[in-house]
Amino acid sequence: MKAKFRAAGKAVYIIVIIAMLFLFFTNDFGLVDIHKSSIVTAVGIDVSEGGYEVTAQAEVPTPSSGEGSATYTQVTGQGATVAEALNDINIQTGFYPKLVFCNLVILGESCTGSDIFTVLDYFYRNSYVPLTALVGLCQGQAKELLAQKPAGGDMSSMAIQRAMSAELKKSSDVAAVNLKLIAQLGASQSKAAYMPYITCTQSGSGGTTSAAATQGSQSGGGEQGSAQFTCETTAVFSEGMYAGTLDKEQTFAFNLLMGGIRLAVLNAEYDGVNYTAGLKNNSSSLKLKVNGGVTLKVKYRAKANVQAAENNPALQSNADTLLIKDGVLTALEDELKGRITSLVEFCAKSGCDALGLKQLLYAHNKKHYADFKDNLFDVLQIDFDVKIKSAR
Amino acid sequence: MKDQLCTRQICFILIAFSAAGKLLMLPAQLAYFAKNDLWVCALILYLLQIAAVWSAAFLCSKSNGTFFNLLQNTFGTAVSKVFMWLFAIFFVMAAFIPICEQKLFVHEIFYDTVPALIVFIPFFFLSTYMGGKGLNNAGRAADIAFPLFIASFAAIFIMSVTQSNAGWLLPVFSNPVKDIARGVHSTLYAFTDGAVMLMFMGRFKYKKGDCTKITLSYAAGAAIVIAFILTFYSVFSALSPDEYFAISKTAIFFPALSVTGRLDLIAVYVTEIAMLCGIILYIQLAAECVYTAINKRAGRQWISLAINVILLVLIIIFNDKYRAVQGVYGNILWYVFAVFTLLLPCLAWVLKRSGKR
Repeated sequence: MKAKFRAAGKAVYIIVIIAMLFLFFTNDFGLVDIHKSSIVTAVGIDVSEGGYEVTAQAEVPTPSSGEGSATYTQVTGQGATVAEALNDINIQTGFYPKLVFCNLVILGESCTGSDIFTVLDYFYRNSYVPLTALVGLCQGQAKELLAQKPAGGDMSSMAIQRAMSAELKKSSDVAAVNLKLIAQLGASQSKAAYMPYITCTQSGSGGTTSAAATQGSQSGGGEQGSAQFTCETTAVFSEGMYAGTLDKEQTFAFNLLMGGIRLAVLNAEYDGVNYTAGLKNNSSSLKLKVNGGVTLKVKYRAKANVQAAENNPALQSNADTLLIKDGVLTALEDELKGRITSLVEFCAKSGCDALGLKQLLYAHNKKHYADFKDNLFDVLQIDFDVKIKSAR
Repeated sequence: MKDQLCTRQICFILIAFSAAGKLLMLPAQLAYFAKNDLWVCALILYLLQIAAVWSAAFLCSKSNGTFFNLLQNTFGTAVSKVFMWLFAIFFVMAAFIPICEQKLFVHEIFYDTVPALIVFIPFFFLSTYMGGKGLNNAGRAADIAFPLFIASFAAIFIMSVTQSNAGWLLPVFSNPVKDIARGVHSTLYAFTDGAVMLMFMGRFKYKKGDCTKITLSYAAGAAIVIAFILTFYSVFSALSPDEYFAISKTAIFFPALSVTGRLDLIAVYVTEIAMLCGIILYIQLAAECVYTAINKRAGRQWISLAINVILLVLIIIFNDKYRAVQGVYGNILWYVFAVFTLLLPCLAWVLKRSGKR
């Protein structure tokens, strides 16, 4: 009897193995027809009268033996929601644009009239969209920006991602942000979010591009130079609505206060001469002290060396060319204080708590939060503790 | 009774299997109820469980018998058998919801393009096989899974903690007590360790100091889970309640992964071994209870097969109804879990002990 059971058991396991192999081999060995596939690397969103226009920039794999030269395509779909617009792309192209590899979401200028969290809602609901995707607001239409051809034949999305790179963020020049951080900031007590403002300029008519085929609507035409993308300014949003744009200097101060900066470059004038300093070993902190009013304590420490000086070449100076005069250090500190003050004034004027001060108050002084949450910027005083020392 | 486990294996089970099972859905569920105070819920749950585990482990120092032997000595064979069946049903219940979670996890993370129940069914072949092998098998699995779990968890934790912002956890104790209480009772079903330790009674050779080792091991597992929960909220903050399958998501912001691809999934796969062994432990315990209740008249393999068929049928019936199942467990069945995992390990002290050490 026991032997029969064992034999039956073996038979069952053999049948199970055959069933598993059946499941495996009916998958066409996992092969994918690359002619029918594409990888969406960037999405642009514009708000139109009829709803949303979503532009997907997709890499189209080509077989090595094929003759096709198209390396990417751009398709625009329309719909009442972003999801419906993406489905429209599906209808137009035959492939459903899964966004597993989407690393960039660009909002067109038209999105500034809408709540960005409504615009981005699809990306938070869809569990296949990586929350690591970078987000930016652009001048003009997002689909036009994506249709630009950067030098070197890259996809525009790649060039834009380079303009928002981690290296630029670490040098305090770009306030790069991903989908996750925007949602976190928007849901914080400050209800304020930010993203880089992308601008595109045409440089000459040089550069080549391998982008041969685009579908759907595409801007441009005729002779066109290679596009250059920059993100030196920062768009800020309060309660999801566009509240203004930080200029280059304010963006610099903002990034410096947010932390994570490796090497920032700051220019200051001393004795009528421009000095450009490299700021290393950056550390910054913001603290709120409640004492009847609210004092924002801005602490910043860095070590500086002069990278270049106008009308004061290193070879004509003292032996230690990297030593910075105290006056230059003071000028750098004053320049930084001016930029921070300008940033705080912007926040007060626009009503956008981009610095996250309300969240700071809630987290560290919760008992005073109710007292100051509505008039924080009216009572706010700034107490600077900024010290920049010579690196040598 | 022949020893089925050794103290080391029990410690490994209480660290690896127990902790791994709490890294998938629990963080998001706690965040849903208690927001940034989610760790307070986890701490309360763990303090209760540590007391239960300690109680059961300390009882092992006073008696050689199993929990069912003590019941038999006190109330007789009939009551003992009733409790064997009740514990069998309890462990099937305890296994069901993590299986639902694993099914969702497999569909969403591993087989995102093939969302079909059939993809998950091979799990039941493994659980039928291992479930029928008894607790010796659980011990050997723990020996293998423990170092793998520790290494993979360390990799995921390091990648995650570097991208976290602990400021999101402030201010502490900012949520109402009723939210904390809801978080505690709604997730109590994920904490069965007191009952598991009770089942280990009499199945290993107790030596002096084992109670301390076992309790400290469980506390180490608690530290792992609470550290992960803190990191999870520090990474996702307000997004946390929507971030199911926490263990597979916290590391994705590690900068190097944008270049290398999702290498963290290798660590997730390895952690999955401990998770699956933890679920199968419930099936092994249920099979052991039934095996003893029917006086070993049927082989463990057949009992395991029957339990797995029941679980498979339940999975088919409740396919795509995870939220409803979770609601029933969190709002209604939590009383059952409180009794089996907290009350009984403490009440076991009043039972008449045999074979005193």
